[in-house]
Amino acid sequence: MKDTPLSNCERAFLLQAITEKKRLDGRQTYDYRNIKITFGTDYGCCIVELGKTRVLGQVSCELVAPKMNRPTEGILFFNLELSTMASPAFESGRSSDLLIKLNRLLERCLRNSKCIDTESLCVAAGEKVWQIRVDLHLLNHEGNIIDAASIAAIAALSHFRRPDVSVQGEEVTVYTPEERDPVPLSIHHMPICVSFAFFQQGTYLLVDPNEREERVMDGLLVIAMNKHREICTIQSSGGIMLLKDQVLRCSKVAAVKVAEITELIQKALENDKKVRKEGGKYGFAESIPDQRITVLKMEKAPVDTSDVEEKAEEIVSKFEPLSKVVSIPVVLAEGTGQIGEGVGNAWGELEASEDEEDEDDEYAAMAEEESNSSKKESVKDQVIIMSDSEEDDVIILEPDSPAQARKAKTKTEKEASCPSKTPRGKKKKSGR
Amino acid sequence: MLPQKQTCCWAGCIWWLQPTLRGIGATPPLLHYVFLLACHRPRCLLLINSFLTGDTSVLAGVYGPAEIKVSKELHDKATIEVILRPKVGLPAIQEKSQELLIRETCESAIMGALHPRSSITIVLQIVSDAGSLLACCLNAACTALMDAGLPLRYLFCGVTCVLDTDGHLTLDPSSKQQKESRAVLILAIESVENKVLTVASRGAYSATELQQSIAAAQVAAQKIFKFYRDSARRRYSKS
Repeated sequence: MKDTPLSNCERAFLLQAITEKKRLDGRQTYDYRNIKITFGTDYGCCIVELGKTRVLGQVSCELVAPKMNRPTEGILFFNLELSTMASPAFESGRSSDLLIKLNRLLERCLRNSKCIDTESLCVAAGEKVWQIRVDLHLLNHEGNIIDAASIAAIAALSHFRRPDVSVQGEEVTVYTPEERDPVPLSIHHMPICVSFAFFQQGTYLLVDPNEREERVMDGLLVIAMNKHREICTIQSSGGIMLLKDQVLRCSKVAAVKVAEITELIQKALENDKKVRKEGGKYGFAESIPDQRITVLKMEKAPVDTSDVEEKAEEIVSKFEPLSKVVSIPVVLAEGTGQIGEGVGNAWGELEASEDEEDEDDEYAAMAEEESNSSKKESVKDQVIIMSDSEEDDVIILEPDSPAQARKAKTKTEKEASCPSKTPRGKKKKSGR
Repeated sequence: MLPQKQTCCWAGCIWWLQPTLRGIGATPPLLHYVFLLACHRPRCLLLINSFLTGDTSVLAGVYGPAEIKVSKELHDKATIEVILRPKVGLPAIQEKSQELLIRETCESAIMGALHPRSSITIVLQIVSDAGSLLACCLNAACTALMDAGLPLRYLFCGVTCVLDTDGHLTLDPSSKQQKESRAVLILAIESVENKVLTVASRGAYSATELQQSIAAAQVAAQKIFKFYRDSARRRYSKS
């Protein structure tokens, strides 16, 4: 489905508003939309909401052989998916330029910044390492995918627990969560992306652009930073020329935002940990506010299924038992079997009854069969046509046995004249 | 033989009370029916709702009736497309087969002839799986279609039944119960005549057990339809 383009007046209106330092959703220039982080019941599962942009993150792990050139390092894998659910413009199963760009940026932000200690993911050097896979699904697109995705990725990674392993000599044992508590990943720092949208050749700047603003922007600057004010990645796209001061100012703003977001993630993680420890309710089900009209929770309601058994019995007893079919295969000839009621197989009698035509050419038989089937309807009065069609071929093929040919010919004529008799004769011949 | 004559129902989620496995005092799994947002794109209706039965949750979105590629269009009815996205990794054969099952169920319910040469897309995203996933997907798909306002012949819902080695029947199992069971039946029931729309099963079971499962699913379906009705009423309570 195609996306609806932005109309000129909408575009002009948005730009006009931006020059007046106003945003459609009432935010200030440096304001982020509300961020909400919820964790699922599984470890390493979270949904991050940035305004109405939603990203679902799930981390999973697997034991694999390491890369040849890095035998002691675990493998990190990131995959962001833009599903049709987020916006009808995203087609499933096709990687667009935007998707590639976002995935690459995410990799640079999280893998290349070495925020996860990959050495600690090694189980047996050169043989077994953990492969950590981060799947991110965009559930709704309202702008600024990269910020939401990077928050979701790092929150999911910090929430994730991998199964504990022990190595005794050559033997590697993976413990289930019941046997041993799963262990968290060692995370050095939390890089978070902050997006800045530039308008009118860099004159105006907005933090956290929404979808409408993204459509009218001239350029985008993404800064990935951790709370120690270290820049992990910086990317400018859209082809705008930025001054040194602008970049520096952006990095200062980013530092403030990153500190806020990091604190939020840590708070969310702590809350989740506390609830899990106390044995309370957790997961998405608990995080949904139930006073909204769009939410309905239903408490348990008993279902009386006492009559299920009787009902089933009744239905089953109502059905008449199916007529008994022959369950023992009837062997009519060696190598054949039959189940059910069918007509007797005539193939078995083939050799015994047809000694007269044994020396007949196979071609002749086939030709005969063809003429039989095609001209089954052309009865008595067309005998002449029939005889000169394929029957002649037989005569030409075997000129030294005219008696034989005649015999075959008369047979065909007979068959053609009384079509009711043909099936049996036909069957005989087709068997050859 | 059935272990207990009473089952518990949390709307879409029917829990057979099994005091040995799941104490009555255990935290009741709740079923939420959430419409998260409606998007205002012309000629397309998107709605996302999430259906949680206990710990299983699925997000569903519906687009349509919308324009379609010429290669896919059907001249006499709408083309219905179901996309099921797994949580981890790329969609594989299992997802494709489930997609087909959901699509066929939806096709029977949607009055496709009203929207010829257009597409109706149902996107399902698995958020968490704790058993009875396919039934949850069916419920999510139906509520999404219902909320999108597409004309339907009837509503439908999915109910999972498992039969263990002793012949005990359990409704809405957890993934552990599902694994340990002898047979799993997923039934889609329609709302008008309470008939069976779809049956998907794994494992061996007798004709009597099938009838038992159907009868149990039909009773459970009533609870789910009541839940559909309640949630729709709540949604439109402010007008």
